[in-house]
Amino acid sequence: MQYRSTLDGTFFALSDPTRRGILERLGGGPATISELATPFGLTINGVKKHVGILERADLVVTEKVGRARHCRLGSGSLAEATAWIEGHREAWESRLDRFERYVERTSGGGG
Amino acid sequence: MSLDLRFERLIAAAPERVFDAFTDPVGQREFYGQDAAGWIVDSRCDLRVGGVWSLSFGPSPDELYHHRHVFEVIDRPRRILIASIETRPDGSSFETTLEFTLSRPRRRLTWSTT
Repeated sequence: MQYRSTLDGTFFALSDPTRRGILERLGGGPATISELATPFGLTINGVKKHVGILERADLVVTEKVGRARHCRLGSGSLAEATAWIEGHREAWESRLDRFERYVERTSGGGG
Repeated sequence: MSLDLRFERLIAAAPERVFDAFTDPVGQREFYGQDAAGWIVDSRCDLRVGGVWSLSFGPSPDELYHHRHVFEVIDRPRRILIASIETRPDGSSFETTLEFTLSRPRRRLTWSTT
């Protein structure tokens, strides 16, 4: 399913602290690959690998300008992932609320 | 990436009672129930390590969610560990681990998904 593969890619991309750091950095504005390498202590190839994963998840967009590759935040997938997590959380909260009421109702409040 | 969600409830009942409610057919249907008219819950549970608790639930036969839980640990009344596959009406699915733990003396039920 496309929906699943998109979210799988998003969650996988977000699973790495360096990639989350790159997203945080790009939240402050676009940067080139080499500008991203320095603060994270990574090689150019190391950054390219992480950026490639972020790019496949649509979290980052890159563009070649002259000899440098510029990176900026991509569109939308984070909102989709957040909405999915929130829906999942609400479903379990609702089940546990209902279960709690059921147990207390059928236990006479004792125990 | 694991989706690490944790929920806690303090329940006014003995841990054994909470555990038994979670593992009996009425409690399990209640867990997945909703007040909405026509809400469907079909629950079949083989309560043993390696056994399967399968559920189909949703607002109509055309819009059913499916959870397939396999019991990995059953330790009454303290803990249940479940390997789970959840499938949505659109066919998308994902795997998760569910853990149900009960602690004395505060009767705290902790439910976590990872």
